Amino acid sequence: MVSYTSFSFFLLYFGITFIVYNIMPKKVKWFVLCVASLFFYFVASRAHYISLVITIFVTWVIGLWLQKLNETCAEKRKQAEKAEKKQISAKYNRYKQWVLALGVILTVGNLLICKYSGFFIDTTNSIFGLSIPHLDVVQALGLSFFTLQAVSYMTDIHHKKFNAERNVFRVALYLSFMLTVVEGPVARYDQLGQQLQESHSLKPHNIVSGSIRITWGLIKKIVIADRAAEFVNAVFDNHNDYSGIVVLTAILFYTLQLYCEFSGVMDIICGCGELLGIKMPENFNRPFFAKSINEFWQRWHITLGSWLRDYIFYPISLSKPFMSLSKSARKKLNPYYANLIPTATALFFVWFGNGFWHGVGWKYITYGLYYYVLMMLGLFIQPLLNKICEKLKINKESKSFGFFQIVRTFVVVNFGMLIFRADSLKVALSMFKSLFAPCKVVLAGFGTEDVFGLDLYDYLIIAIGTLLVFIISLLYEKGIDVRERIFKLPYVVKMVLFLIMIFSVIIFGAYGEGYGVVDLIYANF
Amino acid sequence: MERIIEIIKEIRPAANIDENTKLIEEKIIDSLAMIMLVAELNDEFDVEISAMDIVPENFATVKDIFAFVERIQDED
Repeated sequence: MVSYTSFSFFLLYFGITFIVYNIMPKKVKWFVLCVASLFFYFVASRAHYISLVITIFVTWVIGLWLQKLNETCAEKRKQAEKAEKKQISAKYNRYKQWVLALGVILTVGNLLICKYSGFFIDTTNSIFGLSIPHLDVVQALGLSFFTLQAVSYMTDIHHKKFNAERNVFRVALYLSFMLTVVEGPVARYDQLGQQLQESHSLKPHNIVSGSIRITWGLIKKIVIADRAAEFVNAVFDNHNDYSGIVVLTAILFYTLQLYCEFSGVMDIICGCGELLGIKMPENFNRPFFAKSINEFWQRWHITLGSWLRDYIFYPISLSKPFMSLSKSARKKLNPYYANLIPTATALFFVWFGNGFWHGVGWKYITYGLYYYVLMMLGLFIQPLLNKICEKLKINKESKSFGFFQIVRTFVVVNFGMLIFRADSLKVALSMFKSLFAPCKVVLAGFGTEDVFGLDLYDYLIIAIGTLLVFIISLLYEKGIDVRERIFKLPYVVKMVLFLIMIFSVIIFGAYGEGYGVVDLIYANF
Repeated sequence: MERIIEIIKEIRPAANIDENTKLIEEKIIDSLAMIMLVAELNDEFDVEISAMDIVPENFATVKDIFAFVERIQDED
């Protein structure tokens, strides 16, 4: 697979696209991106492009159909009396809902068949003792990402947020854009799609700023994440051999690996976008400073969380059956708990969807529901906790309480990471139990030879790298824009810093003998 | 506008707000509080707020909420 951190991506795909994009006339710039993205997808997906083509075509046709209904409805409302207007809107809304449902069934159905049919068949076979064979389908690269984008595009046209795109290639560019198709972010059409159509010219500020961000992303991915992966794989692949602090370190290292890899690749993508003059949606906002699970998910994989919020959570919570349920509950219950009923139900679908989106199997569903249970527990006991804090005179605004909340969230997230990384639920449970057992491994010879695939030099680099990531995150958290500060430095200092960053990637990057190529974890989705 | 402030204070008793407080930016209203707020607004002002109406422009401050509620009342 073509990786965003590979030389072939930078030199061949993005590099050539960048040059051609900047020399072509304004009118055809978007088409350059479209052709380059489709070619990139064709190569990266190893010619498994049928799912993407189906999704593009369905999204385009349904978008135009919904647009036509919006226009007809508006025309009829214009000619009608005031009393009739509401009826016309209701009639057309019903019609549009059916059209949207058709689009969602076709695109999400494609995702379910290609990604989940094996899981459904296996579950059916094991429950009913059958032996239905698996379907001969291939999960296309980035299927989960472009399907979500297609659903948001069609839904937003249904709600008249913007007009449908008449040119199929413009829809194709939005769904297959080379910087989002493999790992996200899950972009919205009014956020990214329209920017892709516009012509952007080369700006020196964008080049410097984008290059710094790309290099920082490479440091996070190649220097830290790929190194931590060695330790993680050594322990998780032989989990029966370890316990205690080794397992705990492996969990912490996995959290570090996933964060540095995913946010690092997002930095590369956003940096590449900046070079082209395109502002990509942000996917991370220093998640480990979150004080609650809810806040963590507003800072981690932001675009997925906001997609689930806008297209699952709000529509379900605000649907008529749930609103009337909440209304009748308010007559009998305390308003807080009455309003919690639709929220709790909608959140179940959000977290089930979150888990299921991440992967095929019960492990991923449990991963999602783990957060659901914790969040529900938090919401149900919140009034009680407030009273306890009041009685004990705990200042919830104090720095020490804030620090306690950050540590508590970090611990909870790490257990979630254990479920996410372990090969199965059984393994996750056994590793969790082994955390409390005495450490099985004696780290004899630590520092002189490889311990879990890494030597002292590697551990030192991981420690310094993590400290650097922490300090920079802390500065941003305090409202200091580090890149802007770098930008204001004298030219020579700026260049020296940039060269140090580049040489850090070259010298300290985890590649070469002894290191395998570490595939992007989120590219499997 | 007073009634909207009262509703928000029922949902977030600790919040100290006026008509210009930035409700989303200052994290007074998150997605869970939003559902409670919308349910109360629907009841109080006899409107039907849909999922797609929940955008920062409509809920940024109490003033924005008031203007938005007036707008959908007129549309109906």
